[in-house]
Amino acid sequence: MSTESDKQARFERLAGQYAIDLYRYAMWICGNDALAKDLVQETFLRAWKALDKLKDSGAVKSWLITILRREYARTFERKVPKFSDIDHVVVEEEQELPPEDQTEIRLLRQGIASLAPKYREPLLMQVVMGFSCQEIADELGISKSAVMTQLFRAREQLKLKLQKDGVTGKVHELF
Amino acid sequence: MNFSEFKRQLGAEPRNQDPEFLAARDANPEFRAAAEEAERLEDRLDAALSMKMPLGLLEGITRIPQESARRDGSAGPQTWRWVAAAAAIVVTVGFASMRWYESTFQWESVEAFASEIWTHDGSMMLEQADGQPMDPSEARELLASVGMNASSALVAQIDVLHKCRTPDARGAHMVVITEQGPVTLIFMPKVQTENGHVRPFGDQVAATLSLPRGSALLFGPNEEIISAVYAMAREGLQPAS
Repeated sequence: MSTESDKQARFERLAGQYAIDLYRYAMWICGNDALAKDLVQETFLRAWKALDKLKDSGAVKSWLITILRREYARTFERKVPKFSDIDHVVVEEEQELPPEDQTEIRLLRQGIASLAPKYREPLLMQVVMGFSCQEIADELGISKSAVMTQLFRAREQLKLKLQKDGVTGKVHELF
Repeated sequence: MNFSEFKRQLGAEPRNQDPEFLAARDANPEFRAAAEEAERLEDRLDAALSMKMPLGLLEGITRIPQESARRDGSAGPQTWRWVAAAAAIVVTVGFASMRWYESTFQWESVEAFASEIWTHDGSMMLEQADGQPMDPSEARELLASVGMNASSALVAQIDVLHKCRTPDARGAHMVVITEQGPVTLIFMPKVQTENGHVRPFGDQVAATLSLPRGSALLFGPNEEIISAVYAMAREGLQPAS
């Protein structure tokens, strides 16, 4: 197999493995379907161009997120996107859940969308991308202790949202 | 581990596999019940954050290598000469009015660093700012890790603070709250600049501030807002002993 086809096969493996998570991440930071797709496309375009520089395959997740966040920052500088499309994106398996669980998930989605970015982004890195607290700290350039505080507060706000909207029977006294 | 610390770790990392955390969870029914509730919330979070892959997205991504090769092939030397010339003009005009001391680092100049950090992280940091001061002890700890102390007045107005790459050393990138709006301050431990007048920088204005150790870049929407933080930073940022 030639070097170029090795590179292409490696790229396709990365796309298959991470495209959906990057799309979810992008969607939840910008709330706009078209922009999220553009961000993911642009991230993989840059990843393709720089793939030869990626020597540590264990760092690939962080590498892709760094590219995506920088792309988002550039976009954000040009125009602040409207956080509008989250409710229109189909949630996998939602239709199979009991109605009360669907309500809870809808409330959680509203809660996540309304979290301040400094709470939402670490939460997305942890839940969507599977980052450890230390990996989040490295990506955001803050301490692990600060990351833990932000994650704790993010979940606390989501729990309060559920309590405030009456979904208290199942998630209670967590914190 | 007491229950308070357990709950703190549980809220931050519910699926923590640290042996001490797991042992604490398994040793006490109260801890276990809290962990089970947390796990249930995590399941709901997973479901809430789920999305289907948009139709055509993966196919579009896997076509990138072919399309990239085609584009590279079709862009002749003439095209790239025009692009290079246009870029050079933009850079020259954009920074013609700025005068900085240059140093030996991975960026060609301080203005190149300023442009890169502002483009990559400036808006994102401002987006993270919510108008509330961050934990002062956390701010002091982060600043100390890059060799600086800050006055209480300055710390009380820091909304977001991250460590960041700066020429030749790790520095700090912070958003400082003022009554008129946020100001971004980037501390560069190994760069010396002269105290600069406020100059246009894209849709912002920028200024350099010489400090007893290193220097700082300040970005804000107008001169008045920058001036307030400029004075506070000049007095309040001192080398850590």
